[in-house]
Amino acid sequence: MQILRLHIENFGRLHDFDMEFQEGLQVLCQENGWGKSTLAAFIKAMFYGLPQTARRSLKENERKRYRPWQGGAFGGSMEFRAGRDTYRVERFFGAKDREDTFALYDCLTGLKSGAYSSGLGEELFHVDRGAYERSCFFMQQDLELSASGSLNARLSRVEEDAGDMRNYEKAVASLEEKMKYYRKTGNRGEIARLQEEKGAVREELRTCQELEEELRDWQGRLEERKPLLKKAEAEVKRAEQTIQQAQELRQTAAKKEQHDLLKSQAEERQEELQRAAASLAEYADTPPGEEKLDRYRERIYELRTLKQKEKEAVEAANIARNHLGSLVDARDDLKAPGILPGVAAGILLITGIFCLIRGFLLPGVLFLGLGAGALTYGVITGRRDREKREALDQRVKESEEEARRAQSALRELQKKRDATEKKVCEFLGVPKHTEFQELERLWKMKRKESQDFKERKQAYEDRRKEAAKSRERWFAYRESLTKEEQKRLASPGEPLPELSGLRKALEEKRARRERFWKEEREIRYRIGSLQEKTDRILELREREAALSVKIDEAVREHGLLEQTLHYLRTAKEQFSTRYLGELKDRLEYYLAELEPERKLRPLLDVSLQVKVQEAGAFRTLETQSAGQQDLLRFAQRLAVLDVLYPEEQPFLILDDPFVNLDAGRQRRAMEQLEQLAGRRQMLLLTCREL
Amino acid sequence: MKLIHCGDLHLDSKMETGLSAEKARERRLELLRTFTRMLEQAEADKVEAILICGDLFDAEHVSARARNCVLDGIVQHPGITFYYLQGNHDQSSFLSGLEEIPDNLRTFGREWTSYEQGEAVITGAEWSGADADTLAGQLSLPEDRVNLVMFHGMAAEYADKDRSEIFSLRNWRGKQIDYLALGHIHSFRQERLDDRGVWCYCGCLEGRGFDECGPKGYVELEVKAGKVSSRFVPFAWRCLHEVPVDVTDLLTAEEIRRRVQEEVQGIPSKDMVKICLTGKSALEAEKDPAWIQKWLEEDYYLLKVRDETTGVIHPEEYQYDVSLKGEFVRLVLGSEELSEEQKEEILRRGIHALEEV
Repeated sequence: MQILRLHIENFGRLHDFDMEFQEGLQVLCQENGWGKSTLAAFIKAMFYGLPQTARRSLKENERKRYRPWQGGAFGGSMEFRAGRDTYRVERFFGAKDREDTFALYDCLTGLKSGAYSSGLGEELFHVDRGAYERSCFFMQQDLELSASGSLNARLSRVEEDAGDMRNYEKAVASLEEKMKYYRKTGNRGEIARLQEEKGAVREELRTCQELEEELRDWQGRLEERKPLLKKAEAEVKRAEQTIQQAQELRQTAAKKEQHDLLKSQAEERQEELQRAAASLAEYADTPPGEEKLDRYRERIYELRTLKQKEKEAVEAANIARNHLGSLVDARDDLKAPGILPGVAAGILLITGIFCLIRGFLLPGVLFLGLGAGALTYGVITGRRDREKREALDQRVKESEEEARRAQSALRELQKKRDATEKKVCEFLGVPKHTEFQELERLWKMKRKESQDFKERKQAYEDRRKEAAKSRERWFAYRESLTKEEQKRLASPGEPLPELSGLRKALEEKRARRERFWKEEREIRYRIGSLQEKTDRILELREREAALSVKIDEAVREHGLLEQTLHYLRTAKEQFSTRYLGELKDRLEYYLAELEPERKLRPLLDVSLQVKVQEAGAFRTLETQSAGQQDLLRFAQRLAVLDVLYPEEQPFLILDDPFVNLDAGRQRRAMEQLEQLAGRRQMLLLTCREL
Repeated sequence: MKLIHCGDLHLDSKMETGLSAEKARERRLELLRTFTRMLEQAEADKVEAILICGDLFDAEHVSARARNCVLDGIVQHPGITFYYLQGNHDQSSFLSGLEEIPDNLRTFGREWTSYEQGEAVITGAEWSGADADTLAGQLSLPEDRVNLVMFHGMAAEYADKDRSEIFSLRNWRGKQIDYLALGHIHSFRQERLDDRGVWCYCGCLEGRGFDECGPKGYVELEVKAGKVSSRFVPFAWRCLHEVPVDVTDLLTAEEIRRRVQEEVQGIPSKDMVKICLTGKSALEAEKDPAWIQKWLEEDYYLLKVRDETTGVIHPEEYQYDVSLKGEFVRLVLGSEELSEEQKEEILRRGIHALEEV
């Protein structure tokens, strides 16, 4: 492969830059800051494009680093020869890789070519960007390295052709360390710990599951017991019912007895009542009552008093009549008042008046005076007689009144006496005018009868009440009984069961039921306590599941780490065996060319580290002088290039590599480069003339 | 008349989200608490009946706490009638463990059983997974009533002979169903069944794993004037979120962490979050799930980070790499023993080991 020319539109500090390339070694002597690294980066970018990276650092992000700050197209073109054909690659870059453009033209036809894709570098050189960069470029990326100007430092990156070989041991250690976290010798580590924990949980779970079995067993027993208990309860109930029935029978019998007793009492009372009624019926008429008797007794005495009074009244009437007769006689004896004084007074007065009229004054006055005297006398005497008479009349009248009253009183008395006597005699059933003593005797007889009647009646009433009461008690009792009991009253009495036997049987059955109850309580208690423990099963299962997941994850992780380690080891083995032998040969070849005296006896180890045999021991490069280090690394770099690029030789850029070499070695190195220039195109960048 | 349609509570369930034992225990209690919270809400909303469409419990073993909690919840709400249809996870342990069935708990058997509930008729049957077509054929409902039907299984247009939990919806059409209350699927879904009714999965009350992300709750039904209306009520105490985060082109751990933080913004801190790193990631990218975990784990009840990225490996890039790394990559990529995933894992580990020193 040979680069013919390039044109940079814009790339970092280079703008509208053109450069022609020649075959073999080309030396470009420019001062620091000219843009040698940019040129190298552009050549790499033409082959490999710009990397897709999210790194923010400008130093690491080439896209940002070389983006033209003044704007304009970012990229350029490069002509190169590959095999017999010449191509022009054009690449322009955007802010992101998807904005990048790539075009390849065949310089012969001027048409687009499909000989290579945008992975041009890889297709040409069969190494990736990293390997290309590490093997063909020494860019002044690292100031320290740059400052040392040491080929040793620069070529040390050649070891990175093996890239991470040096990291291998550390990576292995890291993986093993991680694996140890999961599994350590002696069955330790996280997996063992988790398994142990899971074992404990499973053990607990197993115990709980056994308890669950036991719980089911107890639940089964409980289920089995249930019908037995029910049966025992039913038996107790039946026995209780039997006793109750027996008691009811006894009660019924007692009730019947009571009923019969009440009935017979009622019937007895009824008979007594009938007897009392018959006794009472002996009195056809009801004898007078006490009150009536008392009243008649009063009347008897009143009659006697009335008779006495009548007698006295007869006497009084006689006296009054006699007194009236005498008064009448006395009045009759009193003369009638004379009219003579009156007539005389009249005549005298008339005579006097006549005389006066006739003019006989004196006679007239005399006559008038005489007439007036006669009149006055007549008036006075007349008044006196009249008063006397009136007094007598009054007395007669009073006496008459008195006699009449006496008569009337007598009649009244007689009437009253008659009435009373009539009542009394009628009451006593005797004729009138019966003597008081007789009346008294009869009355007493009446009274005796009355009292006898009263007693009988009282006795009758008492019997009646008693009979009613007794009957009422009987009826009430009968009513208080249920229909069933009432029916049984009529039925003949059944033989009464023996209660004590029944009670004994009941007690036995109750004891049996109590035993079942107790057993059930015990089973339920047992179930309760087992359930409390078996309730943990859920939680334990969860823990077991969680631990299983953790163990699976840990085992999986451990397995993955193990596989990773296995593949890493295999990769290392393959990688080493693939390149090591050839590298050794090429290293020895170049060292023979650069160091014909063969002072250095190098050794390349599996991690592609160069060591030097000195005094029978292998020493690292750092023990050698700077010049020897640079020489060895230069030889190593050339060996690596031969190994890495067996077919198409890439364009090699060397940035002042020989500053540490002595004149002889520098010359041999340059000779070697010139010899190499026959096979590959190289650009040597330097600040000084070589 | 208001009713609640719920199901798939999976009480006493194993927690498979990777919670610590303590948090898993707490989460199980939260599942119970959400059930009791739902009952309190039902009481407050004057709900007359609760339809539990299967999988009330997760397994045969029912803990004393869960059994007592459910039983107490039923007994303490005598005004609510509970219709409990057992699902494939329920194994009769709850019912057989009861000394006495509460008056307000109604259950179902292998054949259709109907109950009157106000103007509605609630019908249900527990399905063993065999011959759903015959079962559907036996369903006969009154045309003039509001028909709510409870069932547990996976509805599909056509049944799959190989999957016994699937039943065909075609056999359920024209059956006078107003509302087909289903259980088995853990997310809310409602579709029209026929001209008359709809079928509806209420979903679970609480999510338990990251396969149960999104809002969870119950369906509130209202039966009024011969019609059924329904609405989904999100009721979960905590939600689970699976957040895919594309980390393609991101190289540093910090860049990835920032992207993740952008994506999880707005998720309540009491929720559980699983971050899945997706996209294509360069082998050199600093993907460090532990780093993200450390940053965010205290912000959420649970945070998990899972790397689901696929590595970007271009074999051609290593074709000409003359280095141990190149050799290693070529060797691994050329291996016929390893799967693609294993290759990626091994390459990532090997390259990191070589580069970290």
